[in-house]
Amino acid sequence: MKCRPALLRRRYRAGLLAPPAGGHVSVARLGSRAGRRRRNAFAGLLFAGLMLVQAPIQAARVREGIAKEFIAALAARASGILARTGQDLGERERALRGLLHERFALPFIARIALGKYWRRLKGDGRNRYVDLFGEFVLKAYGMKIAAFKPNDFRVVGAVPRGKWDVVVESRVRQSDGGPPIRVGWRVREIGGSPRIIDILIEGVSMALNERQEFSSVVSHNGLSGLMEMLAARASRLSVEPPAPGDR
Amino acid sequence: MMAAAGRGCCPALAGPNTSRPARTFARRSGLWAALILILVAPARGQSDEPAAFAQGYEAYQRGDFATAARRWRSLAESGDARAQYNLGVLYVEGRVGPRDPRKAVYWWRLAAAQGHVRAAHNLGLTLIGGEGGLRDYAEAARWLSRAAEQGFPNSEYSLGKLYAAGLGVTRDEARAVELYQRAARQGFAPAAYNLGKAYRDGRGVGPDLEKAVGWFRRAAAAGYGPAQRNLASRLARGDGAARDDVEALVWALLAERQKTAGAAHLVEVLRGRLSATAAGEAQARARAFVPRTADDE
Repeated sequence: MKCRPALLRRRYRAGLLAPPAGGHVSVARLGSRAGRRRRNAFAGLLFAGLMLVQAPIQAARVREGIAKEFIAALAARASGILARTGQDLGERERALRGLLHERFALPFIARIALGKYWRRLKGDGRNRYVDLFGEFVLKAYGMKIAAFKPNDFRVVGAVPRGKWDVVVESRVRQSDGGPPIRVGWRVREIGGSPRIIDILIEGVSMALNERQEFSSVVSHNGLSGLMEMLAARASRLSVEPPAPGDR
Repeated sequence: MMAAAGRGCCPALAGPNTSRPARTFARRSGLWAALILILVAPARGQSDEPAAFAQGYEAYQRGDFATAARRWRSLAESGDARAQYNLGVLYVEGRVGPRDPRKAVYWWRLAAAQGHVRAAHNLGLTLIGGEGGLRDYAEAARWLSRAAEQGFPNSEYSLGKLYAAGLGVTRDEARAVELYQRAARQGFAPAAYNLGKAYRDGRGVGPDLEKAVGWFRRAAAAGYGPAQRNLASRLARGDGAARDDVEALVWALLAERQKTAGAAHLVEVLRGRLSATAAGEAQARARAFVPRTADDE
């Protein structure tokens, strides 16, 4: 695949590019910096194409100001939950999961993450997959956010992405004093309300990461293998509390 | 050794200028003190362990994961299975640096080898989840079997799923049903739901729609969203149970409250079918719903 980054970037930003048919990234390329750049460009293109295919015909782009407010409100509510220091961690994480559930377009992200295999699932199977995907994603992100301190999270801007979306840029302060982490929230208007359709950590799309992993699991272990993988990751038990006589 | 300890223990008491009875008393006191120290020292160590474990848990709940890791690590290194388990959880949840399932698996193996059920369960699930290139269904099935043998319902259920899918074990749907039954009888709602599906589809048991609905109802009453959605859809169609749109709406509303996939659509369809009064009744019943626990059964 020949890459002309500036042109590709312009087209990706404009949401004009579809994923290259049969695109393939060799394992050897993944190690080098150039390989990683190519892979990121390819991933960006793939995601833009997927988002384009999934977009509703009458969709209007969510306005940047609205998307920014939407994410800032999420941050404010998350800070409120994180500040409940008298509450157990498990309870705070449950509250964060509920908050994320309201703001994520989970069925949409679940469909994107499954890619071509989505069509193989019908009725009950689709519902089960979406339920499991939701549990898996919310648990993972709930835990990530629970590690922040209140007000560690700052919205710094918003940029249009593709025809319908806005990426709200934020910075999360690290507790060890390291440089802040860049977190982008890709927002689209779905059913008349803004919804998060992807999270980009240091520019890397979480939805695409999941898609690559899911595709590999399905090709080796079938859809039942994927379901069991999601169920397993979501149902691991957390820490054991002390017995009554331990304190 | 005890005498040596006694002599070395209280030199101030048995000084060169003290009288013979006093020296004898001092020597005896020293011996007793040494004996008490020897007997008490290990006991004191043991009694500190539960306190350190609890301190680790309190630090975890506060979000002070570094302290939790320190407390649990020292216990884990001295062989405490509970601390080994909790330390593994810190690693897999990414609480002390990036997520590290390999370190988690290391500690869980040690704890599980001592018969710690939750460690065996999490170990099995991590080998199914496959993070960090750790996927091994056969080993996962072995650890889940060990936890299931001790009657842990979560593991009975997960092992049942492996038998149903034929992952790491030879596919055996009858064995899967047997394991779901064991877990469901302990009130584990996902197992009751899967048992319902087995009866519905005739997988591992003869098809029996009434029994299927009975198990769906049990899982739904325990508050399991997918079972509530399924039951709502059956009651709305009169499939395996008499058609009852009001009850169907109750279950659909409860499933929707948990954001179960497909529940919102069911609610919309059922609301369209019912009068405002009937829909209001369903709403009130859903509000009054309290999940049943295993103890209620």
